[in-house]
Amino acid sequence: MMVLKISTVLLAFVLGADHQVPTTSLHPPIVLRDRGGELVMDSGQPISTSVSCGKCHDTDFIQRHSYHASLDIDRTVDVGSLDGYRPWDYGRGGVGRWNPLTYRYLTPPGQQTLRMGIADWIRLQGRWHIGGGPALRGFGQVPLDEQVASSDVSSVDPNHQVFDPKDGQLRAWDWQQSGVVEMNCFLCHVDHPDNAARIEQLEAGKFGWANTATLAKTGLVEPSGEGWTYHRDAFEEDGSVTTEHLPLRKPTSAHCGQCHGLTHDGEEPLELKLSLRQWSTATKGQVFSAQRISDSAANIEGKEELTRPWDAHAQAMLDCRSCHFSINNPAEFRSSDRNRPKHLSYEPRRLTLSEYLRQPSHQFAKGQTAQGSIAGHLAGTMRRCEDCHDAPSTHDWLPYQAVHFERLSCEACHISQSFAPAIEQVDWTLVDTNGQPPTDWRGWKRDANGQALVTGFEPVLLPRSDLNGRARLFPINLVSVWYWVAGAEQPLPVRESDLQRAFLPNGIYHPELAAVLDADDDGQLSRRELRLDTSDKVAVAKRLLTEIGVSQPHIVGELQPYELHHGVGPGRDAIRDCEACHAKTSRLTQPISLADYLPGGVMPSPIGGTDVIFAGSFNDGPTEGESNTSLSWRPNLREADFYVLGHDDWPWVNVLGVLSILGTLIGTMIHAGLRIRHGRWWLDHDHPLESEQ
Amino acid sequence: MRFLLGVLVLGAFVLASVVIAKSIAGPNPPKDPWSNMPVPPAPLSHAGLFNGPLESGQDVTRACLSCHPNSAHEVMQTSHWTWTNSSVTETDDGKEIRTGKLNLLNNFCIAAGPNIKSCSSCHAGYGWTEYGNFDFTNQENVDCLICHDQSGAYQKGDGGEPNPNIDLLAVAESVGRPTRSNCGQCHFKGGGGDAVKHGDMDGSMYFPSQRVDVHMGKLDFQCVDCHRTTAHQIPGCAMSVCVDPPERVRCVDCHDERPHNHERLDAHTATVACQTCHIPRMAIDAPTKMVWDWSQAGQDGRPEDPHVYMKKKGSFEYAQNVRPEYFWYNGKADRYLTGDKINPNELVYINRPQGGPHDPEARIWPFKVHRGKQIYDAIHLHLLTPRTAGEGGYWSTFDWDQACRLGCEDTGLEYSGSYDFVDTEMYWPLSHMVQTSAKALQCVECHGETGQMDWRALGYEGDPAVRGDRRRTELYRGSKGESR
Repeated sequence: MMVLKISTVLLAFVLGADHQVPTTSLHPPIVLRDRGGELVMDSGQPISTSVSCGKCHDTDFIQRHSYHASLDIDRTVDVGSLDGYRPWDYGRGGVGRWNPLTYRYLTPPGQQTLRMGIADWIRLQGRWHIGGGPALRGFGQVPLDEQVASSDVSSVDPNHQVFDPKDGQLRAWDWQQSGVVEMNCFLCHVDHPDNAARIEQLEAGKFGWANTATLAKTGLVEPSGEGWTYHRDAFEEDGSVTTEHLPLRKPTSAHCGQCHGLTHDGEEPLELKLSLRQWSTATKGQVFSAQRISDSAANIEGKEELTRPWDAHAQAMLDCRSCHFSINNPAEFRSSDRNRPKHLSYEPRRLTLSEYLRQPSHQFAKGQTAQGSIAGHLAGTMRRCEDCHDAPSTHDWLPYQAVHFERLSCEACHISQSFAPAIEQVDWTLVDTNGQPPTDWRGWKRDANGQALVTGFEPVLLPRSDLNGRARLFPINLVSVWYWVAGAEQPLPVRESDLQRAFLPNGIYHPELAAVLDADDDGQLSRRELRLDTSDKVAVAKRLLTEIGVSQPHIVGELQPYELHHGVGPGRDAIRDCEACHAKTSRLTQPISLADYLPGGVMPSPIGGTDVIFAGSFNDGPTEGESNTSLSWRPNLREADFYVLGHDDWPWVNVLGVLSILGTLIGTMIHAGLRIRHGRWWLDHDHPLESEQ
Repeated sequence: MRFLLGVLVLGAFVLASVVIAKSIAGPNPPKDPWSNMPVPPAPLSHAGLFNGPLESGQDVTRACLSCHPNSAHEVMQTSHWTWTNSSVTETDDGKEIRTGKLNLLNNFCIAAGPNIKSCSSCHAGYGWTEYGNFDFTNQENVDCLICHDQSGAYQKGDGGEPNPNIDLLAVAESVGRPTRSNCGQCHFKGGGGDAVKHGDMDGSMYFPSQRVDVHMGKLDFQCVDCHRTTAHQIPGCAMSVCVDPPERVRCVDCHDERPHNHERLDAHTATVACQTCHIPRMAIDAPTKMVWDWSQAGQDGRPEDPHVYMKKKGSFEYAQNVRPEYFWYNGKADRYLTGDKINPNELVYINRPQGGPHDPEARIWPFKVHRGKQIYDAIHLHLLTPRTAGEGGYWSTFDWDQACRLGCEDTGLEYSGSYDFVDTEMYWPLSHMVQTSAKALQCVECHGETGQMDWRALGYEGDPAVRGDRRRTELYRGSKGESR
């Protein structure tokens, strides 16, 4: 009965069918309790979302059905056992699959060298994590503060140890003092979550307070000493808070954008920032906003003419949930051809509203992308373009429609350009004085006044196999990355702290390294000098790493594809010019630059597990061993069995054409000759039938 | 015979192909707006056509009439002369009257009648110095120059008389087709200054950029390109003086009714006026007056600022580049007529647009709403018409009682001697400062969580983007198959 009552009240809140009315939250007052079940206004302890929200919602179910929480830590495998992945990878998702862009390698259980324990992972990576999963249980089954740590500090235990880069020693982590991070309901469901306050707590190792700090803008809490205090006057006598103080609601794109990238829904001019913290913007140049590009604050080339929105779907009032809905939301769920029996056109069976409100799955429908390998079993559950759009009816102008749809993703033509910069090259073979790798971005330049001018970029079009086995062309940003790897039999990327110890002892460049890098001898290292582009420089760097104990250091390069699915333009901006593709200068084979130089002269290799067919070759640049020239990738779609009329030049097609013409001519001549011959014969002979008439 | 038969069959085949191709070609593309543009007559220089000197305005008019004998008669049929229009409304006591600037009041300078000597500087005539004492039949009093001067030197003063320092001969020799400057002299300065009354017309339109108005800025349209004049009758009439304008200027006079090449946008045209999306902001360059509180007039010691406070006028609020307010409007308006009773405890609507979601003729329009606080008779309960300018007027005496007594004598309104101030609102539909699609409103500016349209106030139960349009939500029940 309780559930039903609440479900009635929450109906508008959860289904969110009306964006306009009511504008206030309909969520009932919520009693805020700590993990022990006490009222926080009495205990003064951090809020437990599991306990507080768990009063009505099955928070255990929610945590178990959320890849945002688990990051696939429950789907890890043995290190190095995944084909095509890195030798040190032990999973396909967030935990287990290392990414050199962020350079965070969470040490799995059983590994003999600790690089990063759970606590450090939370401090560094927790800004992009909703809590729960590894931040609550680590690699175990019970909360970390309830686990019993081994008393043997000499054995590696990523759950309870951290690595101290100052002295290279392991330290035990006190989970009782730091607390753990429960899944943070507030971050996505409160009107104005204070993400900065949350991150501050995480980075300070005050994990237990992180979720409480998320409410810093509500007026319920404020920082006090080492923790936070509650404003008792904002609470009711029973310890509950009303929606006036804690407005809970369905998530908006702005909520998702806190971790995923730049979203913007206000009238203030949108600002672009080059930062990995806006992940999808940094890797793909994607911005999800209804604002016209011309109205943004960025200095963009030809801005006055760019009156299209950053994303046409944002302009059409869609938000992230429109496509990435909860997979058991009865209002949103609509089975697609891919997950529905052939004999059904509509699947009427679904959860009741009360069941859903009790156990809303936080597995969100997801697509299939080159870079998104987390929760692979859910790939293809989201609404894709064809689930909403009737493409054949709007593309009646397009010749050979079926062929185009079979070979091109919608994005190939409708995201022909990104208008924000994206990462092009990350070079972890050196670090700057902030400990960060030299990074180059594509899609911007200096104008005549030396000001940064955003030019945007055209993504490269590469085939990627979809769930139906079709290889279609998708727009992709290729990011090249180089880094040091130590060891041969059990290789691992060299630790950040080792890079700094070797190259930046005491915070300044090692004199030998500085001498070999400083090409103009001015005593300063510019961005152009901060590169290992000669064998001499590589040798010095390698020796410095070896001297601090790094075994067999060598440079590895990789090529990462990041597929663009957002930043869709209006239909009028899509590619409609046939010659854009069907000409000798086809954009299908336009090269994309990868790097200004080749660190260590090492050619990058495409990473595995992406389903992208890297048809093409490195071009316009060096070959293996050369390092001081630029590198680009030129697609060659013929290698992927694409034949592009007007661009490709297959000899047998020409031969066939010539033979067809010749055959037609010869056939015509023979036919004509026979007719003439027959005509003459006709004239030379009597025709009884005609004479009879 | 066979040849003839073959030709016929071939012809039939070609004809059938054309018919079939046309039938499957889809809807006709939107018509070209330029095909509806008037072609202005070739300019004719009037230099040397006059036998000078021309000493007075009447001298000029007599000269004009010698070649254009019907023109004065034509002008005298227009609201620019009569200050009334053909729109008829009914008073509280059942009398039908023609409304106009002559007999209506507003919540700016309130009423022209008691201040006619000053207000008639914008009358297309000469010599109107006393309310109720002007010869509307004298053709020589028609002022041709106010609309046709192209010298830029012509100016009118009290009573509508030309500034005595002007060389009328030079002005007369300059005449030509009216430009924005001619119309703007009065229409940009309504309410006593630039941009005061209209939110969508101001001095920035003398030499506008495209940013201000695409028609006037980019394409250099003149007012008469849209307000196409026949026999000096200029179509279009402000809602402030017309309750049901007989001749309107519409976007579809030139543009197609479904001009967007976009099904969803075209569907809006049945519910949303073109102006709503294409005039996303008003008062783009010059601030316009949004609030005028007469009750604070007469206070000593307050700093004088024409945009904040003036002792003789009271306090003001101005705004620039502001989002309009939106209301249903079917082209007609309710109008407060001079002498109508009011409830001083309620807001008094001077001219409220008619229409609602149930009205098939109504569309959502953008409005400037001017909020005033003006004087009313506390006993008779009607708005008063104080004399402000001129002898004994409030601006020189700061005596409301005397100003009302004098003003009401002019207009024939009863005045008890007891007065107070009441809140009023006046609505100004916007049709200028038009923007291209590149600057027009976008979906999210009206719909969705960030949308600024108050759907409930417009009669919807919520955002029609998610709840459905007027027909789907049964606000409007049109005929079968008709979508609104």
